Amino acid sequence: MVWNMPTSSFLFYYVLPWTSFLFVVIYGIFWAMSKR
Amino acid sequence: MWGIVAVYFITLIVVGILTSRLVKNSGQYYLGGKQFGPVFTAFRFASTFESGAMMVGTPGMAYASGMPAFLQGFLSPLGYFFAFRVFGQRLKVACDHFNTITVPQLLEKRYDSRTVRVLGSIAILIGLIGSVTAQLKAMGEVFAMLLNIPYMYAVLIGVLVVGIYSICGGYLATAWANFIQGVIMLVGAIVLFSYTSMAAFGKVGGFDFPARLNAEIAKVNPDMLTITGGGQVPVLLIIVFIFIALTVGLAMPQQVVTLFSMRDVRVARISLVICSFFSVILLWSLLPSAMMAHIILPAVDNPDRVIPALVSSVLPVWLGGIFIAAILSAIMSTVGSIILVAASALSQDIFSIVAPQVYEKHPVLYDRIAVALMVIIPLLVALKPPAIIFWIILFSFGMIVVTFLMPMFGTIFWKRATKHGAIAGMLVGMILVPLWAILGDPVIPGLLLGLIAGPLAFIIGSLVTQPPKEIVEPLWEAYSQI
Repeated sequence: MVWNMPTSSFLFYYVLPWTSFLFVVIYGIFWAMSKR
Repeated sequence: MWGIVAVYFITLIVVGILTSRLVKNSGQYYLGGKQFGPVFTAFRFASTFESGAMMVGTPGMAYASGMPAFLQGFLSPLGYFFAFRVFGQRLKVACDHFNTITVPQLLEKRYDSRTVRVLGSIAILIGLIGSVTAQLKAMGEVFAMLLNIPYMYAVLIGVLVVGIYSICGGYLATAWANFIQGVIMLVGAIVLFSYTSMAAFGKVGGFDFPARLNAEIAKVNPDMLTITGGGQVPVLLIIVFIFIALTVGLAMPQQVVTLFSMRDVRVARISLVICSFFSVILLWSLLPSAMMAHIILPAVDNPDRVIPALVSSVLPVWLGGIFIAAILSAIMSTVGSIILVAASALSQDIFSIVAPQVYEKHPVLYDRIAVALMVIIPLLVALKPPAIIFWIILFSFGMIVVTFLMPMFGTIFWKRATKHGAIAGMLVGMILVPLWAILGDPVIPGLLLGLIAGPLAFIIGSLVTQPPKEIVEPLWEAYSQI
């Protein structure tokens, strides 16, 4: 249990989406700053 | 409350009237002159994608079945990544390279085939009229519920406002409207979340917020916190969600034109970041709000009524007005964009082929008439839906996706794709998918069948014929400049 929810559900509904969000945002910022 | 909704409507109409003066030709009418920066591009793309379902239906699902509702939205950032990073820049380059306005025109130029263009326009007209009608019905029902007026008046008011600004200002008006609507959606979602969590926990957010919310939800029904929500989340449904997210920027013409309208390819970069924030803010404020309804409201029978019930119980009246404007915005932004794309297929791709001399005399006038038709026809259908429309709504989404996915893919990624392949793939979408819906989707859903058969037909059709090198080579040369 993490945050009172099953660990599998925590990974699937919290860790996975926030990881993908952070990846996309960080990628986008670096991409926007790059010259090419 | 009515005052705020009235201000919202009047603002949109003023936007339509002001932007109408700037429209001089069809390129400006349907693509706003291809001059949009990241903010307008991102808000249009995201607010068109997030329809009324995101504001009402999905939170309702979160209330009823818990975490699985998040499935509908958590892939959005990846979807935007594909739309802008993988497809967006090439689509924009192809659109500029061929100097086209609509998706069917782009396909015509790439495959050197008028048949492809006509097939594409027919698919857009049938499929998107189905979508517009479905959205108009939803709009009427939500307006009627929120504003407490009869369904018929509700549909009429909503359509009148969307109709006026779309007909007057075309793309430019819908881009401004989508920006205003997007801002209202974000503000509404954050306000609702703040007030709901004050009512539930006495403070807003905090690092322990998820743990507290989950503890409360576990008291109601611990299954709501599991991956499947206690029931079976069908694997097919997950596949379909993933698929929709990954192809939204390629196979849905109303989204693709937003990419066409960018000022230049670099706009895609910041748009990607803005879109991701947009969807994450909506998702993570609306869905937890709906779940908190378990703590502060007595049980609600119909999940679709959870958000309206929250609005009337936790928000002060004037903020309730803003949230209602937010829901209306979500629906109207989607409707406006779809209407414009359907109209462009009608005037640019059908009328201008059937009667070119008549069309060329007053192109913008006929463009406006086309938008008016695209407003009036679905309106009449939505007011008194004939039986056939429910069937069209059923397959319209699958038909559009299957029809456009492979030809668009071939336009930007596969040199070997030929017009015969494109026609074969499109016919699968336009014939097999509806036919499968008539048969009642035996064995597998029509969308999945189309996604297997469509690409097969496309690949085989392309491999047995030769692509026109004189068209493909310069296009790939243009891609290499990105």
